[in-house]
Amino acid sequence: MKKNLFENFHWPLLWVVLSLAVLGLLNLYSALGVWGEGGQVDLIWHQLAWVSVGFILLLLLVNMDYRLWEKLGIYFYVGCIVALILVLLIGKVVSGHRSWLTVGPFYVQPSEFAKLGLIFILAKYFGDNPLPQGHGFRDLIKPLLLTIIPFVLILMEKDLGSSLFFPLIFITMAFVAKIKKGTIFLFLALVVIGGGLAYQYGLKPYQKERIRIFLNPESDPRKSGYHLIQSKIAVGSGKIFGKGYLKGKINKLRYLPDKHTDFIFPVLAEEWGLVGSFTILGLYTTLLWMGMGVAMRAREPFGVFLASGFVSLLFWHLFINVCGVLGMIPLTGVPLPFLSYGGSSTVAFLIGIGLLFNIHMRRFMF
Amino acid sequence: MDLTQSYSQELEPRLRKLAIFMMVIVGIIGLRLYYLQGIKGKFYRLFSEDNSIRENPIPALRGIMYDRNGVPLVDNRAAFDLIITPQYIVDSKKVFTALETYLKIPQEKLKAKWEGRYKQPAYQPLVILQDVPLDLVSWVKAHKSPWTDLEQEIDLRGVDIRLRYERDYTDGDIASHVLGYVREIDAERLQTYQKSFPGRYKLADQVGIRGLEEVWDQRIRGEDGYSQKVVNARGREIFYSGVQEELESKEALNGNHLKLTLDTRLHRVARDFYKGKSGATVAIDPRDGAVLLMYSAPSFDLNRLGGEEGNQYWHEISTNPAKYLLNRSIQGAYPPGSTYKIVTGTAALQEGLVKPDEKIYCGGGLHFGNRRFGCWNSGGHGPLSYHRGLVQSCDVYFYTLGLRVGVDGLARYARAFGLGTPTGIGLPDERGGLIPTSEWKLRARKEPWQEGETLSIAIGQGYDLVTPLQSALMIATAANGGKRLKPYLVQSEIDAVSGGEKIIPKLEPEIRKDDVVLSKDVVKMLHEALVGVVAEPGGTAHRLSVLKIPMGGKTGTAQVVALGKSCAGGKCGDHAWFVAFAPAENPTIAISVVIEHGGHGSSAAAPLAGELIKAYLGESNEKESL
Repeated sequence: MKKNLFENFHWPLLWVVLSLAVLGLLNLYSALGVWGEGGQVDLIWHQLAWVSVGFILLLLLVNMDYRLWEKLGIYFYVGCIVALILVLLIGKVVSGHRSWLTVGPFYVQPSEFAKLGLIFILAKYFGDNPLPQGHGFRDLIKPLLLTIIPFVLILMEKDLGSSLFFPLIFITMAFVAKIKKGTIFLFLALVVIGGGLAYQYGLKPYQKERIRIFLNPESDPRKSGYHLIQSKIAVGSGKIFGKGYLKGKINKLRYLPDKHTDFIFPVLAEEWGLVGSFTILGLYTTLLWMGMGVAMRAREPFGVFLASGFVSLLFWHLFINVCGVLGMIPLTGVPLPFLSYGGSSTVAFLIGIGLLFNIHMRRFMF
Repeated sequence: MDLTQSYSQELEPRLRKLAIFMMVIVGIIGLRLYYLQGIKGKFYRLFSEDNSIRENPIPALRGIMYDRNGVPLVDNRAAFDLIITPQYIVDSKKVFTALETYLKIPQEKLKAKWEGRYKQPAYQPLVILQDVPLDLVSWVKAHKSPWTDLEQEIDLRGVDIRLRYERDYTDGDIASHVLGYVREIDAERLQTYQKSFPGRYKLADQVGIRGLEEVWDQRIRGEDGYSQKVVNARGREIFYSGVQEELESKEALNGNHLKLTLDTRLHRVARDFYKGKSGATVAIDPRDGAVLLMYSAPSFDLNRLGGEEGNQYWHEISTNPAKYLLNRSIQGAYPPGSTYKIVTGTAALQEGLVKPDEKIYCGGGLHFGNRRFGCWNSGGHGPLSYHRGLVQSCDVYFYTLGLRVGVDGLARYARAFGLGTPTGIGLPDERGGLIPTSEWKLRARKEPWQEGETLSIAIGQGYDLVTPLQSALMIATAANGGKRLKPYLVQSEIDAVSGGEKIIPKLEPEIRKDDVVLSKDVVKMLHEALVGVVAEPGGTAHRLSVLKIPMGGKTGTAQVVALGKSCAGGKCGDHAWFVAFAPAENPTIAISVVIEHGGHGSSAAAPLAGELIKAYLGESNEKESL
């Protein structure tokens, strides 16, 4: 049985993930250093530690039948909700967001794990409730509630970027489960009205400002649009072959803000040029493609939803982060999988990858 | 199990759609990257350089202006500014306390500068004090230690002395109008200059204003160099080996020096003489038009324009009704008075309208029309020939000659002496004066010329207006045998790098086809008569004969038409004129002097001409004997 399992191991997926992780660490090293001043180069060791932890968890998950999560998922989800409530009560504030819990010497960001939690619980729900004729609004109330709980909790942390993933995951997974046409339009109407109301009453001035900047970044380069302009300059100035590793001026002279987290992609694009950014984009594409392949080949619905839910999580991260720094959508601070610095997100993504391996290995099980 | 299996198969079309959606988005991101990095890459690369590289100007030294004997009229002087660079300040409170305690710089001033620096990059120094004395410089240098020592009471990290150059004048007030001054370029001038001389002027540049500083600015300003530096987003200068090598620098190219025709000694004599008076004096070399002296009073002190009190001084002189900034030698137009008899006499002689020995009787006045035109000597001069007529400056004699020549004839001869048009000396805003013609009057005043007016202009009154420079040109032409001259101020340009001297080619005066060429014989008679003015008893400037220097001259006393205004403060006294040349044979200096409201030319103006001649010829003699 075991032998059989590893014959089915998805080796190409491993190479892709390893390549991303290694390139991510190399790039992060460059992003952490600045010229003429100290920088935060030490953080590379933290990240290396988190990546290692992530890979250990990944290996553990490879050896654990993913179907266990059909039962464990609900506990994971509830655990995350409890952690999110704790964050609101005793959380640590970092750069304006109350998003972190202190666990011993570590800061943990429960919102990153809550995304996995939602995927588990929705995968179970949609797996258990097949509706070949499509889900109507009434059928979706339960999963919608499961989505709204963490969404609202994270909004209360003032972490708009992270909260966005919950409705996105819900919509993507519901789409896979099939929604009735009328319900789709109802949702669209709800999103438009809700979005309008949220912009008018819900958003903080700085968030409105961000949307305004997105629409016209050059209007005030020294202040608000500055970040986006510097980001575009960094990306564009890399030209075809880049300025060379550790030689990105915009990066090294600190013209890019938050360059080890939200603006990690421009760092890479500046130093490695179009060649580098296409390489990374190619790796992501392969990862998404393989992930969707795993979902399609899974033999039972829970695996399909789990895999596709996680792949869509990766995709939405890629979309929101990269399109944001390239000036295609408003900037929202979200990490780029495997490239951005951050323990919780790195571990959460590698857990997800572990699940993908597992689903892939067990596709002939039945 | 079959059911779940068929369910998961049922999901496949939407999974496919989702995968396609993802690939489309990724494709769009790829296109966007290609657009930014491939198509617009060059554009953004420029931006990234612009972002981080700053140019540090290295100022060029402005050229020195020497007088004809190699004495510098304008030089450069090192000035030291006390600056602080926010980037290097570790403990601003400690620094301010030290500066207040030891250098007596009030904390409020420091704090105002410190707090006013926002939005300015940290590498950009703040100027605390300009042009500080040397003992302050040495105090800072002595107490500055580069190492960190918290125990030390005086922390001067970030405090520095910066060297710059300022214009320096041994005598700031002797040639202010000719030299002009240097200031920061204003927006209007910058716009014009950037159009005419692309790439040579930028914001905050020092630029020559008025005088030779303005006219020769492009030659003497040199070209600023620069050194590049890398600056990070916080405005700090970054030293990083990988980047440092890519930086470029260019040395400053110092401006060329000018050797002027002016004589510092004459300028000092003029400055001392004009104390409390206003007017102007010009001396030129009658052989070639080199301007030896050009002084306008009241003058201002160029040394006082810089520094902290400079603006206050500037305000004083620019608003004072005495018009300190007016260069009267080329911008002041005065009636020439009796000096104009040089023109009238020459015209009549050369046109054959009077014989040199023809006697004209002066009974103290002349009736013309129904008006009596008086002679300055109301007792009358009796019968006079040309020579004595000029020596004694008899008005009746020249009324008569003027009538014979007529207004247009006089104007033609005035032009031959350089009057009535700008001389083209090459300074901004030169005035041309006015020599009337009948056609001019018809055009400007819409009235025909009245014969009676000819009498006035024949003795340099009425419409006649000349500048002191034109008068100097007139007497120089009389002195050099009738040759017309174009005055000039710059002899040669000395290359700042090679030291090579380039003679500036002299320009010829603009001579029209129908211009009068003065006859040698007539000019000889004029020359003799002018010598007689000083040498002969009864000559109007006979008093100068005590100098025992053979010379020629002509006095003038120009009436000021009061125009119904009140005559308060002596402002309607006559202008005193004197024009002279020396030595009598082969003259080397020709001078004009005007003293506003000075009274009689012989008593007010002639003494200065005497002093100038004494100074100039005395100096030349000494030089020759050396």
